[in-house]
Amino acid sequence: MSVFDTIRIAASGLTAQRLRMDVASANIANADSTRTAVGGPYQPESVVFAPQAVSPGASAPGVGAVAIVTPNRGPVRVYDPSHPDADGQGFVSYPDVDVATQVADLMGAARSYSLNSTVAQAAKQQALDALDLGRG
Amino acid sequence: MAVIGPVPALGGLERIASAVGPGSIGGSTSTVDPPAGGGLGSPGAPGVTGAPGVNGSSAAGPGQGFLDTLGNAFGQLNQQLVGADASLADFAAGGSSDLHTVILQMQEASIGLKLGIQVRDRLLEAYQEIMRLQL
Repeated sequence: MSVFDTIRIAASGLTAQRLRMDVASANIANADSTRTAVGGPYQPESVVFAPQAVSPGASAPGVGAVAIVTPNRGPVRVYDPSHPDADGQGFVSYPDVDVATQVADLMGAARSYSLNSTVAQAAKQQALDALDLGRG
Repeated sequence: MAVIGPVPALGGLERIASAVGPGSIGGSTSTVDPPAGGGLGSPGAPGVTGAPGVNGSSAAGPGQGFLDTLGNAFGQLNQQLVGADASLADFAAGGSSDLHTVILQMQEASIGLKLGIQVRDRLLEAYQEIMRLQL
């Protein structure tokens, strides 16, 4: 068990929350994207996290993103015949992004990020306290 | 940022021995005393041959010598510092690393360096303590 394991576990949490924020912001940014490279409107994504060892001998696991999934949610059809992506009946398929949910997720990710940074801070302080034992 | 300064300076230090792991502190300090005691005991008669005796015992000691352990530890510290330096350079050049990864790596290197400095201080203290002994 290395002194730095706690810091590394917190760092894995920071990286994970950063990814969660990235995905939430991509979902918000693409809330109105009606076309993608694979065709159809943008599909909102969400991240799946799982415990992951930070180093070979670590006593506790950190966290890692194992997958980014696109919950298959049907598009929201809006009548707008003048839109270039409108279908034969004049309906445009918009992604089913609930912006309020995404913002809530973003806030959760931001909170978790600062929580993990507090852990890293505490681990650092603990290491410095241990070093102080040897002083004088 | 503070970590970057010590990096070049550490090049020389590295040979002596520095970034000691967490367990090594207890191990190293406890190993400091026995060789010193042994060295002192043997040169009881001739002062000059005492030094070669100490050298011989540490070099031919069973398994790893104290200096080897210390050298490895300092090598590790140097790697930590070089790694922090590299990731900062990568970040500054627009690489893919996260800000917190760079910062935490620098913090780890900084703590490692502080630990190395403590070990060096203890070593110097022990050395000076022995040099002050009245024969």
